[in-house]
Amino acid sequence: MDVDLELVSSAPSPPVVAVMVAHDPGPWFDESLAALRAQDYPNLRVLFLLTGQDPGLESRIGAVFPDAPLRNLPTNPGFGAAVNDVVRLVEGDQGFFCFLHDDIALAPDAVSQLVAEVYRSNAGVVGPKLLEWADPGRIQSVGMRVDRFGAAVGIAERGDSDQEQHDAVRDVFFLSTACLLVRADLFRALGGFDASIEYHGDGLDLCWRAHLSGARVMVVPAATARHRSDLAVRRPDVAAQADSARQGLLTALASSSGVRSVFTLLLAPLVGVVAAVAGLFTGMAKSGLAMLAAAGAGITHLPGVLHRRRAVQRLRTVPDREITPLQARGSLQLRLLFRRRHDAEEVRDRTRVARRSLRTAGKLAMGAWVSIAVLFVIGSRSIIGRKMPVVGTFLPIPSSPTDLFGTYGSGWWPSGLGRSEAAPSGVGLLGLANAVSLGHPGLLRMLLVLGPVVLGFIGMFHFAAVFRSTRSRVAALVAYVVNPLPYAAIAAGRWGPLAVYGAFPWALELLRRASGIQAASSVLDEDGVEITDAVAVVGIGRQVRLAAALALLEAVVAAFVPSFPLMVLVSAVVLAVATLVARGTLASLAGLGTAAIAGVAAFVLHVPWSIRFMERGGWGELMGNGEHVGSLGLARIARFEIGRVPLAPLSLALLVPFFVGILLAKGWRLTWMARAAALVLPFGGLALASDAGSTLPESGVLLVPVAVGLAIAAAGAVSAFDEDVRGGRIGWRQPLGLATFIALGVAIVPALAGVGSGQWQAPGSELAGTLGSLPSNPPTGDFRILYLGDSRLLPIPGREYRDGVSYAISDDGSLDALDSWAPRSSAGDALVINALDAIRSNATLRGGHLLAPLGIRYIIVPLIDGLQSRRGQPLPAPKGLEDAFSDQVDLRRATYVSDQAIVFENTASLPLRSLLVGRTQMASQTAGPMALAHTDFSEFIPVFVGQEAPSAAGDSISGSTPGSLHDSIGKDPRWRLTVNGASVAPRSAFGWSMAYDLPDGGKVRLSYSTSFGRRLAVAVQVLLWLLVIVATSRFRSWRRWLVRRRHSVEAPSDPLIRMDDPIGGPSS
Amino acid sequence: MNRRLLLVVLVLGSLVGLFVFGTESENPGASTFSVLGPPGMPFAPTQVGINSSWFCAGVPATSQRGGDVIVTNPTAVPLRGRITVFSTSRKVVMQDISVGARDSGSFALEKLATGDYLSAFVELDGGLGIVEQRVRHPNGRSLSPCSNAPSSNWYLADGITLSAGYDLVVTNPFPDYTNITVSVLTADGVRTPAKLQNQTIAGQSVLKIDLEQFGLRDEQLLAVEVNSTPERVVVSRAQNYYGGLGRNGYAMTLGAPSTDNRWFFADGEKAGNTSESLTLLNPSELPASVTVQVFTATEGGDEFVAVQIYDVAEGSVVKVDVDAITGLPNGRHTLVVDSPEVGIVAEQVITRGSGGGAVTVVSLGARVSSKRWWVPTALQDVNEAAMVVMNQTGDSGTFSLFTLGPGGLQPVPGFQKVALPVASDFVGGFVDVDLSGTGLIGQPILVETTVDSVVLRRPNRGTGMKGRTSVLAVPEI
Repeated sequence: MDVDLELVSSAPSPPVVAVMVAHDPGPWFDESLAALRAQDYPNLRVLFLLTGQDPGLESRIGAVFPDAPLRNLPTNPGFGAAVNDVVRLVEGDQGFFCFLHDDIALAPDAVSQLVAEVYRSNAGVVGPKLLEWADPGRIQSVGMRVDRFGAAVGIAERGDSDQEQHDAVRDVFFLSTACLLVRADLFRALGGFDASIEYHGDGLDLCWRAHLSGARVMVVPAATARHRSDLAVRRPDVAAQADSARQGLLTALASSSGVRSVFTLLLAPLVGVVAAVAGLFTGMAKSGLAMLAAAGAGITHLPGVLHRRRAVQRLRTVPDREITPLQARGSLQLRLLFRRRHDAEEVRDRTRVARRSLRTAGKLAMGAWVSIAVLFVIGSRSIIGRKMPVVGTFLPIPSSPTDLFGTYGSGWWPSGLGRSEAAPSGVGLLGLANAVSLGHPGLLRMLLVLGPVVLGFIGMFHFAAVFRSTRSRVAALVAYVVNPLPYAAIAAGRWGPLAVYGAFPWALELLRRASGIQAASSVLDEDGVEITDAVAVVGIGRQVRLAAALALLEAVVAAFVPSFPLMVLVSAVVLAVATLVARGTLASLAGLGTAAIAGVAAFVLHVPWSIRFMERGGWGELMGNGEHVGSLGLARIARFEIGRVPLAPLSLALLVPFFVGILLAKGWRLTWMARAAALVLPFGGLALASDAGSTLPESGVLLVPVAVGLAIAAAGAVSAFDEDVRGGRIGWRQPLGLATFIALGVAIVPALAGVGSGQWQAPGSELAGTLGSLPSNPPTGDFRILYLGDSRLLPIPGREYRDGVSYAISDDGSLDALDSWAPRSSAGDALVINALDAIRSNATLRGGHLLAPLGIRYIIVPLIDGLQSRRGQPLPAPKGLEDAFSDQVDLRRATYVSDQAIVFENTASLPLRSLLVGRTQMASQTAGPMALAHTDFSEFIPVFVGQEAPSAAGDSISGSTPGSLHDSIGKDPRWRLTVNGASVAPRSAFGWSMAYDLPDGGKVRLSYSTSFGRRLAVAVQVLLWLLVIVATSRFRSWRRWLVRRRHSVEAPSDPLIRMDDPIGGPSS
Repeated sequence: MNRRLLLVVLVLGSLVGLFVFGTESENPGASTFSVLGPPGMPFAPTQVGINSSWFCAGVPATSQRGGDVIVTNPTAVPLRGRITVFSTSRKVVMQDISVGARDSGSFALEKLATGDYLSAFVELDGGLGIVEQRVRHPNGRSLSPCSNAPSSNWYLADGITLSAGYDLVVTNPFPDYTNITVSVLTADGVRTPAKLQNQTIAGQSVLKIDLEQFGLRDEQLLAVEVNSTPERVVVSRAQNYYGGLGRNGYAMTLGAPSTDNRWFFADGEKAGNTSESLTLLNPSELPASVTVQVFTATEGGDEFVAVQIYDVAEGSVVKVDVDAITGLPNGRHTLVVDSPEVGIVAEQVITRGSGGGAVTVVSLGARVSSKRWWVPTALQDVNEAAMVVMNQTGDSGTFSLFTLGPGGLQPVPGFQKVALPVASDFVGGFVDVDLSGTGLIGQPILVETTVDSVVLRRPNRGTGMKGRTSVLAVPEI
């Protein structure tokens, strides 16, 4: 062995080309250059690739390496893509490439040691021991291990003292790209770095491919280098954990064997879920969610993975079993989570006390989350364990995703009396959610009720990270969790406030990121004054991505709460104003722009459905058309008591931290208190205005920003106590600060008291019981139901008739989520209103006849919904309604239902679709209420019974019973009837509906022809949604692809360096 | 300005604003669908509508008995409609009808259907028109306007079974069955015959209840309350008097579909061969203090005003002997019954001697105010007291008569702007209208007054019987 080493040392030194990529480096760069200049390796050439905009960089390099070739890249394609150019720029395979970051300072013998070890161990890729830049006595990295999911962890814990405990040369799975010596021929054979990887995971990918090709990857501790590794500071826009997790998993999927990859793909989501949930309890939710997101990316990027696999597997010369011993077993991610190890980056600079504090904070967060989770599950046990009650807007979801997609794609919207118009986009989203739930609508409904609440908790905790201290984050979390609003919303059966409760903290978080507002430290500026705001410049790409994410979030919520984008915009405005008032940074205006763009994008994502909001009456529709929970008054609004909440007055304690924070906070904390006030006060005012009857979203929805503001205020007050009060002189501030903690303790009581109900005081399914006793798809034909009564009690959105009385129309069977969207007014509504007018004024006692052509068989007057009207405190039926309807001689009072509603059955009703014969057929050619009032509606045969598919129905009609097929919908040319394949022309019936005169019977088919425009609109809409989704995640991939193409075109044909040339030769 | 100070000022200002403009919680009030009052006395609609509906009391249809539905069309265009006849035999017959412009049509029900009793439900397209029914009975004819609406509650204050037949006729015009509960108030207290509790009546049928068959024999006072659920019904009373309490004759009358606080009676009379009483029924759960006022003023005559106060306990009936009122002079008079606190039902029973016999009329008082009253069913003969016009106000006024003919409404000579006196400062002045010699036979009559009034007609019993009945005219509302 010694002989061999001597032979090596006596041979001519093989050429090494050091390739350093520089991107606007800081002052340390001179040190990096000097260290590179000081290398003792004799055959070393240096090539600089410049990707930044710093005009003085060339002169800085020239001062140290006057003859070194420089190559300016037009953009920054990422480290891997940049260094790949050496394949063209450097000629020759008999040497090595040494790839370097611009923030590394090599020890003088580093290159020599690396080259020596390559020869000694016959390695393909080697790297040095990386030490902390500022403290070379601490290890940064001596190589990395990786698990089957591509999750990596250092062999040495970052920040450990370097006591030579890792100084053995060893095979590792992969190395940092900060300094990587690669055999030139191997690098060319591997095809260089994967250019699609921009920041994290490029080293893993290269090394994994090197392993597959049979090359060894080794760490050479004898070679050392100091490394800054401050990408997080230089590029705050790069989500390190998410990027690492995603790229790691994609690399693993591309590089593992086929069977192993399939298992990895299947296991990844499970691990992701476990990691995300465990992360919640360990204060490491971000890494857990990163894993979950990576699992999602593994599925969404499958085509790209397969493409990469084809290229990678061509390199394979060794089986997986020779590589896997270098890998860690199981999931490193889960091991880290369960061992409660803290992010090394956070720990590295901390003292022992600080570390203990961090661990304590972790325990606090974990304790808070565990408590919240346990109490929430106990409080929701009936909702989780039993059938979810059908109350308020918690309507069942249709069980068939296909039907939902069909309804969404069709141009026929069957809600109410039906009409040709774009179905709400929410129908498509419900179909998607239903498909994801694998056709478990009950489970989906439960998740849709409880899920937003949990998302809101997580979102608030996430958002509160801007306060840095875990105590503050936990305070914000607690203040948001104990706020009675979500539980009151469940008790009131209001889904809108729940959806906004879940989404609003996330929207604010996106606005914050778009504004560049960062977590601030309590540091003094040059003038000795604490800063009022911490901001970072946000690149345009990141702005676009954030705007796309916000647009996506807004669009999803707006599908069910159309006013949500407007609320976010208003929030952005008030936050910007508050920031200016608090003399914060003008960067908040960027959030305003993002909110505006996202709002417009959300509107566009819902076109054509959203166009209705631009039309007459659109404002009312946008605001939810008067959906409300009754007049609550100032006191209940202040207590967030939109539904039943036990001991609700105690929740007023949530206001204490708000006032305390304003009085105590300083610096950037006061700025956040101003922002909290900007949410609490204007939205509180709007909620009151809504409560007083203004055309605004329901007060429950408007109270969500107030709840968020109070949570921020709680975090601000705790932060102020910790940083501005604690440790100071004893005075009025200390007891005031302590009042925050006492108030939060008091405010917990209402939430705790609500736990006992098991379903947060939500009543049982009241009206559903009544509806359950009505026939569904009876042999007498399908029918419609007219809900008429107090506007506060209608189970689905209705249309105001007069003096607090509204009506709504649904098909037979149970109400479902499709009835949540109020249909637009149509000609049929005029018939309903005329009939109601006639009944109301006693102009006829044949009101049922007037409603007959509409297919209305039942009229339901809700009395008790368990929410606004309860058995103990029932709302009276509208004055005169029962008398007026009881007088109608063609209405039968149904007695088999309970006291929840008065039900009248229309004995004159026609089925939705029927074959009219005899006198009824004759009468169908007449029109007008007087004719209707004495029409004999008894001669018909029901057809298409139970065929409620929106776009087609078929039936056989006996040839001996010709008549007129009557369809209880307004005249619409897109409906087509065929008998034995031959079209039959429609005619108007009863002055409104459609009839087809059938000369003979036969096979009859009624179908709706969706217009090309509607199909195109759906296609464009789906495409737009996909584009926005892509823009939120992989926007950079195609941009980088473009850059690479442009870069390759511009690459010179002549190499800059020839390895075979002697040092000092033409290319040196 | 200091940041904190600015923030505190803004927050406090906003809070003050919220407190000032914040609303207090409103008690959930009732919404309103319709302001129609409870069903009252029959009236002639004046608004063109989709169709108007009339529910007739019912007619007996056994041998020698029958009845007509009389439809009067005051408009200038032919009137179309339908008669649906319900029967105790549960068969339903519907017939289209047509009545010429400014004309009347009579439709014999027994020719359309069979059964012990037949009830007609009449619908008139367009809403205008007036419908009455007239029973043809061997013991005399009985005319009564049909009701405009069914009701869940019906009250019949008067009634006897002492030498008298009493059929309660209940019509369910709705398609579905309904249950009725019959409560009877007698001198001995409340009687609730078990079989008449939750008695089911099939949809679109008539139920005859012979009260004597339910143990209510020889009763001298018998007030009936009928409640129905879920559907509404029409309730009437067929009384055939055979001399009990001196009563005689036949009367088929609608019950009262609701109670009221004031009732007007235009046809009082004290004479040697006349007996008159009021029956006051208080079906409520509160005691009623009822004031009965009697007015005798006629044009140029003397004025007598008597005021009597009666306590009518909750759920009880009181009979007031009008003849016994101190100082009441012989002759014609009017009565006003007031129960300002509690709604009651008041009926007048008057038996007049006639040619050696007697005829008894039981009628509800009037309870609406109107200035236009129709006598839609033409009087078979006219005489000196064919009608009575009663002033409902304390102001003097006039009245005019018009007949409805092919040319429209024609003024009746000699009956234009006839003075309508005031009985006192209050109400009760009246005029007996002497139509003898006017030839107003076979024509509907419209009485138009300048003040709110009550008009009552007094047709002869017919069928060869002597004496008159009295029936309220039909007010326009």
